[in-house]
Amino acid sequence: MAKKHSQSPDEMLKEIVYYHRSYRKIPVPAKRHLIPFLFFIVILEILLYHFLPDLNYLVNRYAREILARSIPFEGVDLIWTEFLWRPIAVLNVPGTYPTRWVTMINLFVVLLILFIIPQTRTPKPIAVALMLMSLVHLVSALFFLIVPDRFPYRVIDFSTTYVVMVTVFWFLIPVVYGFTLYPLPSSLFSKVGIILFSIAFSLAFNIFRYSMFLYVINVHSFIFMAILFFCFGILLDMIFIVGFYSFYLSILSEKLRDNMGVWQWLY
Amino acid sequence: MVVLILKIYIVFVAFVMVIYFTRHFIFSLNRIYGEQRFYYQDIFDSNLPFLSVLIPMHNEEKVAAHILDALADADYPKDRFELIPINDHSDDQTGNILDEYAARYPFVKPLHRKTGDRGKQLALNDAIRVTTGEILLVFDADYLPPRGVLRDLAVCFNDPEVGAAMGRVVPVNTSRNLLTRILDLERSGGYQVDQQARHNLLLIAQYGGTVGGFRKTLLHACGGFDPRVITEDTELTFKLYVNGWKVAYANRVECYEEVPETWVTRARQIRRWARGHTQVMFRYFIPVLRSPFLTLREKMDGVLLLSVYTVPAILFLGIADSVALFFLGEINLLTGVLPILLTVTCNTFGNFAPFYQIGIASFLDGSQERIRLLPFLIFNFLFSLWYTTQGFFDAVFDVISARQVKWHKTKRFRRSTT
Repeated sequence: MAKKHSQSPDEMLKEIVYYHRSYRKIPVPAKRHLIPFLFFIVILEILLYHFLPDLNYLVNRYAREILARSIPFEGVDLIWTEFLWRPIAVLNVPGTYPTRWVTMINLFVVLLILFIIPQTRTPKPIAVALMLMSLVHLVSALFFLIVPDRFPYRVIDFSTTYVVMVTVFWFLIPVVYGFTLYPLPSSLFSKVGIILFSIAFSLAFNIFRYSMFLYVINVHSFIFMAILFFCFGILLDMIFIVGFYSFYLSILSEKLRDNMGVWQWLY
Repeated sequence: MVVLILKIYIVFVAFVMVIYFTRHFIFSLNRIYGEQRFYYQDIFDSNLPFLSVLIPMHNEEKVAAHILDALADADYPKDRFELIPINDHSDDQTGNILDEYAARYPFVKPLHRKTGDRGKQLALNDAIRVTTGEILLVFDADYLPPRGVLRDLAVCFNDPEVGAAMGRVVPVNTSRNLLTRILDLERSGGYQVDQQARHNLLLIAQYGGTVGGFRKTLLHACGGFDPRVITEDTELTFKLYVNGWKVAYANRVECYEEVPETWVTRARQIRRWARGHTQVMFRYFIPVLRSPFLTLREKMDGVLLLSVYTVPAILFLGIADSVALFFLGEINLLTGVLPILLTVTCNTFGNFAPFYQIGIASFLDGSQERIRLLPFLIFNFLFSLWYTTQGFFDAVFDVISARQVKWHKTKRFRRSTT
């Protein structure tokens, strides 16, 4: 840091010489930090397990209310099943099989997209994402064109799978954050905060997504089930997790940038 | 039977992803907490070796003068190095620029290649024949070396165990667009954490073909660069390790490069890397396992490093497999495996570097706003998945068809003197 700007650059002195980025590091957190953090993760997992039926019911209840705006309420059944020896609720709506006409339109559109995208100036990463999604939908369209009666699922199967997958993901959130946040030199309180926030966000997001998925299958047919499952499923949740992590880390980085009490050099 | 094979494959994919997740988690922890293995910069050598600095160039008129100016300004004694820019079949002003510099500086000795095939490996092989130094340093033409880089790289060759050295690559055109920012994050994860952790843990540090160097006698002993391998740097890395030599990684020796500014250029680059790296994997997978000079941990890391560009192809086939299983009514299996698979897979947000590795690297680098771009790496993930898989199958086809591989230069974007 320059003390006197009237001096020539060679005469300028630095009050603090910061560690160069090449070999700087942070101290290993004391074991006393690990135990409360691990304790929190374990307690959170136990709480998640304990309140699983309630959390699950919450998602289903609100998803049902959203669905009821477009589907007759009596057509949306709330069914109780079991996962990990706990009761979980799932929604069931009448499913629609695609007509041959709908299948043909889907096939045509997806082939058109696959043909057009490489010819356009669509940015490559978006083009690749669209192509991958289109390929999944192409398989689905071909399936319903060739062997429509062999489609192996009912709405309840998809719904149960979705709920189970999301439930597994809820259990994974504290674990993923446990691995990625533990090394960071920040307070336990803030780490707990971001984990709880992510779970709360996932609850809210899944209400919206679950109702949207069931709506699509009810109104626009099973032909969209594969693309919903593969392209708009857990992958989206992970993007949010990474997003929250990155936001947290950037704030931490800004806060600790010049904090010489945090950084070490080599050893 | 088919369903069983598909099920086994999906479990295999999950297993592979977990292995790489664990590997990169260990790297991240080591880099942020572990004892950092210092480079040789503390050594001040009064008897500096004579260096031959090679710069392969093909149509590099936009950047040629910049790197020559930078190296002419190096703090290395001018009588202790020669600068050999290789004009490799250029049809722009590159040749004239090199001749101008040769007239100005006696240590600049351009080599004009106008006959034979074009390509970095061939250019290097030809240039090495006219070098007088035992230590050869290589820079790509778009690099901007700082003043001390020659001295810093040369000093490690005082260690008789070191066969090659590698510095850290830092993008210079980072703020150009989203792609360059993403590549900056990716480079940060690759060097600040990945390479340094491998150096710390005595694993396989990689010579990257630029901002680095090697001993000439070793390269001669290995038969020079094979023009059929398009990533000559990766091949040299494994040639050296298999024969008992080490690569010294110098995280402090930073050199600035120009990263691709368009996705099309990036696609070609990553596909070429994947193809070349996979060619090397086919050649060195068994030799790495059988080498008497490598420790068990080096062998394990060597195999994982060699296979790193195979993982996207494995994953891509895994996605196709899971779509097939879905339509075969095996959604229950996917329910069990998919969340784990996706969680681990999405940890490979960067160019198959997990998001936490890139996060930690950027944190150590002192980045702030840029870290917030981490979720955008999903585009890079899908993009890399697509083009790396293509590169992998290019290499497979190379082996099957024994076709000749051609070198494609990365497009330059330099606008003005930097």
